[in-house]
Amino acid sequence: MLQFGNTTPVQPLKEIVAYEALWANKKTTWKSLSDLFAQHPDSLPSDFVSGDQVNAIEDEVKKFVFGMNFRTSLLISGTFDFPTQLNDAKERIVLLYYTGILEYLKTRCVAIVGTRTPSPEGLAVAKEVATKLAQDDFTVVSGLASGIDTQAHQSTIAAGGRTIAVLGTPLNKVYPKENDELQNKIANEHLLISQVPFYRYSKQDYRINKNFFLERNKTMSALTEATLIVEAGETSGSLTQAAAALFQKRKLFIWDTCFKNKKISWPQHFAEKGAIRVSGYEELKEHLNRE
Amino acid sequence: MYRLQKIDELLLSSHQYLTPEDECFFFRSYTRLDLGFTKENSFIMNFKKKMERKGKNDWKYKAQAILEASDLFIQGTPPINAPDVIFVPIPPSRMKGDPLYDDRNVQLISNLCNAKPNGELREIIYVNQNMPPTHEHKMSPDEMLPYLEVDEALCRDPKPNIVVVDDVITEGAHFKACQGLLRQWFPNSRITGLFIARTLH
Repeated sequence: MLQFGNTTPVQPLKEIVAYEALWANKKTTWKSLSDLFAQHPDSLPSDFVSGDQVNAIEDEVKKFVFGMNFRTSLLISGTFDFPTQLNDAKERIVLLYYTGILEYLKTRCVAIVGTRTPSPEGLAVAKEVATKLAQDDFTVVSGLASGIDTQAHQSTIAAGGRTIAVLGTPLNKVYPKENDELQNKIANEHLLISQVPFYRYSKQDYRINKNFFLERNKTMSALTEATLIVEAGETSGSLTQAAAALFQKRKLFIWDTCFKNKKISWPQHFAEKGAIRVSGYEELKEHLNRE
Repeated sequence: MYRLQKIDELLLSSHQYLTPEDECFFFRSYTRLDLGFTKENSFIMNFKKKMERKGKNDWKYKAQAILEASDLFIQGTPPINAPDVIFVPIPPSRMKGDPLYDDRNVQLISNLCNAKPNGELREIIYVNQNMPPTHEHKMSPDEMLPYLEVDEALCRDPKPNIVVVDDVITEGAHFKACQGLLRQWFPNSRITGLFIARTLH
């Protein structure tokens, strides 16, 4: 390899296999990876895996990567393309998979998230805000889950806007199944992102894999300048995103109706920590355009 | 400082003329160059800004983009073992002397070589007639060959590494055409490609 300086150029597939090999170790967590790369900031995943570790999974990983009906690319720490917004996350992400229009990450991005089982009012809010954000040239980001997420993506697309889906599954999985078509559309016409390792996910029980959904919420927050929670219960993954948004110094909006629901206490909790209560799109937009 | 990326097995299918043996490196990725909504795109568009804009209000952006790209190369490629490397710009579509001749790649390499005193720029390949605009017909490497000439005087004193430089690599046609010509004159050198960006189409 021709050395351009003292850093070796990244070979994307080699780093994917290495990243997957790191995750193949059952002891690997987001925190352990984050700590590893914090200690060795100029390293690549391939610096930490042996030839045997690579050989053990390489063929299977390639099947995942080349087995989808779209091209996979990667964003890796240390390269120009890597979104520096991610550095605000508590746990450092070193590699993301994506397919689609990478340039979306250079636009103003706002996340809309919430429950998988929304009320008709919640869906109407998601629809209205997504549509208006799209019309005002914001990129709408969500997690492709049922309910609020799906509504946010669909309304953005219907308004002719840009949307990014940050998955809690690897790129080759669809959850829920009904979103197969929507996921494909976002992959082919917009931007689909996932930090979830293919191999480890395929070897784990779905109950353990659920943890990936929460990590996804932290990443989604880091990639955006603000998160809006439309409607959410006390145990919703949206609350992980809310906490991450405040930690990462992102704007956190909570829709007014959440505060009126006496069965939940999280809205008040986050409002005390800096979340902004909004009851209309114009109010939200005004906050977005404030420094 | 940013790490370069290699166009490897993962990315190869986006660049139809490249083969697994080719070694091409890039700093940035673009999905499409014609998206209007980001400054990132305008950087490359400014770098490629047509010479007919010279003297107009927007001309200064081209000079800025060339400096920005030079900086990326200088920051991202230290310390090249320069005595062993010849940088060869991929020639623009217009002949030298044509009012629309654009030496942006030459400027880029000059800036790099000025910052790394041992770097050597050689304009080995030039066009012998203006090439048709790419938006009318995208040429294959073979179709380009009649337009390309080698300055034989510049082929003396070979070095172990020849780095072919261009702003963007799309299908890889220009790179392959130049690589093929250089191979005849530098049979024992390693010929690689260095690009600001790779684009998908």
